[in-house]
Amino acid sequence: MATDLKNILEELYQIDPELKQHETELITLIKKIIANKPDTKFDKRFAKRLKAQLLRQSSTSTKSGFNFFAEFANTRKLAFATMGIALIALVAIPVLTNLRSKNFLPQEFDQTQFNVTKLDHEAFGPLAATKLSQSNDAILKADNISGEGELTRVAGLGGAGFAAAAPSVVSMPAPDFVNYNYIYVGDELNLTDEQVEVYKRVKGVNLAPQASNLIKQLSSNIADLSKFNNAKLENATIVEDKSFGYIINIMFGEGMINIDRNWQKWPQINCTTEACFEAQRVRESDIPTDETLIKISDDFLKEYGISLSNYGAPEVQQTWLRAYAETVNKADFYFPEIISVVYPLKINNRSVYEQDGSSKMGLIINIDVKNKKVAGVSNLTTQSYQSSDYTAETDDNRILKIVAKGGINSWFYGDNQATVNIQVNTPKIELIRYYQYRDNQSQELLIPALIFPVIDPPTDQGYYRQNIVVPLVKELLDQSANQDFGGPIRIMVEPQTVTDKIAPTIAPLR
Amino acid sequence: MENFESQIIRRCQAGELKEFGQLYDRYIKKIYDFIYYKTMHRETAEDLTSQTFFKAMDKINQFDPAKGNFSSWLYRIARNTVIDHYRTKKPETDVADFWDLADNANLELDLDLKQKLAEIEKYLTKFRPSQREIVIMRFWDQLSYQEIAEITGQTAANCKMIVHRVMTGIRQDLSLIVLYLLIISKQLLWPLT
Repeated sequence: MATDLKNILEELYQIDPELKQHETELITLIKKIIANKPDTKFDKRFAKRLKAQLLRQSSTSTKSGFNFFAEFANTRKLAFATMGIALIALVAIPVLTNLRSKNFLPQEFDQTQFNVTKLDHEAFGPLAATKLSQSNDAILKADNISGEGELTRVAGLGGAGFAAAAPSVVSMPAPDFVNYNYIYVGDELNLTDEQVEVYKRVKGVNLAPQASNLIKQLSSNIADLSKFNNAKLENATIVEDKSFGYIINIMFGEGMINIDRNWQKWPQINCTTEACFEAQRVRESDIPTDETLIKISDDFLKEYGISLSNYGAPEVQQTWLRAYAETVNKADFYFPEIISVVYPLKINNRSVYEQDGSSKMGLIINIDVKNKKVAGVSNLTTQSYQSSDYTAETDDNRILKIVAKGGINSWFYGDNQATVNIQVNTPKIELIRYYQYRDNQSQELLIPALIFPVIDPPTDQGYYRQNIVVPLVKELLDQSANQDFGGPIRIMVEPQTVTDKIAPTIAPLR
Repeated sequence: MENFESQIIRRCQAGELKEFGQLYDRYIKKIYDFIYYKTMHRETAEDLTSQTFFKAMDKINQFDPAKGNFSSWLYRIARNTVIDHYRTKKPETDVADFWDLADNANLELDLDLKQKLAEIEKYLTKFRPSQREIVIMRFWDQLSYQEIAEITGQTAANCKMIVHRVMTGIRQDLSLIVLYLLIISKQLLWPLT
């Protein structure tokens, strides 16, 4: 409270230095207001209950990345919609009618074209985290003053992210926290490469001059768009006006296309009673087999000419099965309305994983389970990259120590919590997607990393990690050692008896 | 390098909504407290907190980091949820907290609060709701002026100025009371003859 009181006073003096003469009165007043802050009676059982409800809801709804457009399509603000559609028609239709002939879209906007331009050593600059942005500092400050426990970010490497390692406080409910200790039981690592190749996707697509010139020619009763100088076409949206139609959003700046349902043209559930909702629920019998899901997906990609030349064999995302297995009363389980098929991206024969190794990254096809149709496509991007060599870590012991802690994105709940030993097997060298903020822009990098598969993951509710990830770029591990960020995140928990829950066959750490 | 929270948000936006639990853990108490200070009633605060998080999870795709941080976005949802709640009680006004409904006999307040609120009510109720809200966000929710600005849609400088005005106003009121008491006491000691 003392620090906060001091801050409040300083803020007041900044506005009116003369107030300092009345400091004693002000301190009394501020203390009085703060002291009368009511006890909010925060109930951890409520917090746990709500979290369970949210997670249950999350397992039944899958979202594709750009529902804004779906929202827009559903809006009742007709006047605004009409304006928007008029503009889209003016801009997008001439562009898109020329898509096939590629008059407007440059060669880079060709998803089938994979190319890598090799740059100098460490051409993307330091990969380690920079200081947190001001807004995130604010978050940490807010954490600091909530007064309920300690959150300390220590090790990890790059991935996890609370760049400021200053002790911070977070208020959260206390479920049954467990620390995981990962034991390597695989073959010798034998890391010999002194350099690893890091990739950066080239996002921006420069439209041919005709496309940008289009804007200059635009003029309407709404606004004279030709008056905007140096204007560029950043996005185009196509709305397919037919039953089960789609909304296609082309983001030139990102070099990406997303496809989503045109909600107005898809069947909607208009229930007002519980019985009606119940009748509309997805049943287990509605869930297509994996073969059917992949066929629906393949047929769609073929119909719309989406190339799979840079992608691996499709994989059906089965995350809901785990939630189903954990549900005691199966009748309460909400089966997903959308199931995704992922075509993993392959760069020089390496798969690309999300930063925490939780899933493979690639072209995602969302399938509407009830209608047995593709509901959306996301992550359809250009495949133009730059690459640059970075110094690699070759010290096996160092890497295995990081593995033991859970690699990046690990959480540590304090020494007094139960510990579970888990074995991990021989890793593969793959790539992880890694975001780097620089100059207020987010760059998407693909970094070589060791992906250690978890052997027999615990079936306890809440455990989700299938892989432990350790990036091979030495700089990231050095940063971890310096505790700029990363490492186990220490989270507030209530003291618990220490129990080593399971100890399967344990091989000594080498 | 993207911070951890941004990664989680990005993954939620990519459809991995199970990750929302991590955002929930970070903000549940803060948002609950924020709502409680506006309702002063546990059940109501729990209900509105639930609504806030369900809305946030549902609308996570609409969050744009370029337009502000996640924390402010979430607080804004909470604030709007409270305003909507009070609109159902008093539709003709844009009340943002229970103070404006003090005359409402049906208003539910936690019983043990009455004495505490009476103490502070004398300072705060004379100010406009928008002023009072900012003071509470700064003093009780312990939000920075930048955060308050993003949540309320005002500038940080304006928020600072409002707190300054409120504090100066209370201080002057207290000074007048002290002066009045001094005059009274002097009159008692040296009555005019």
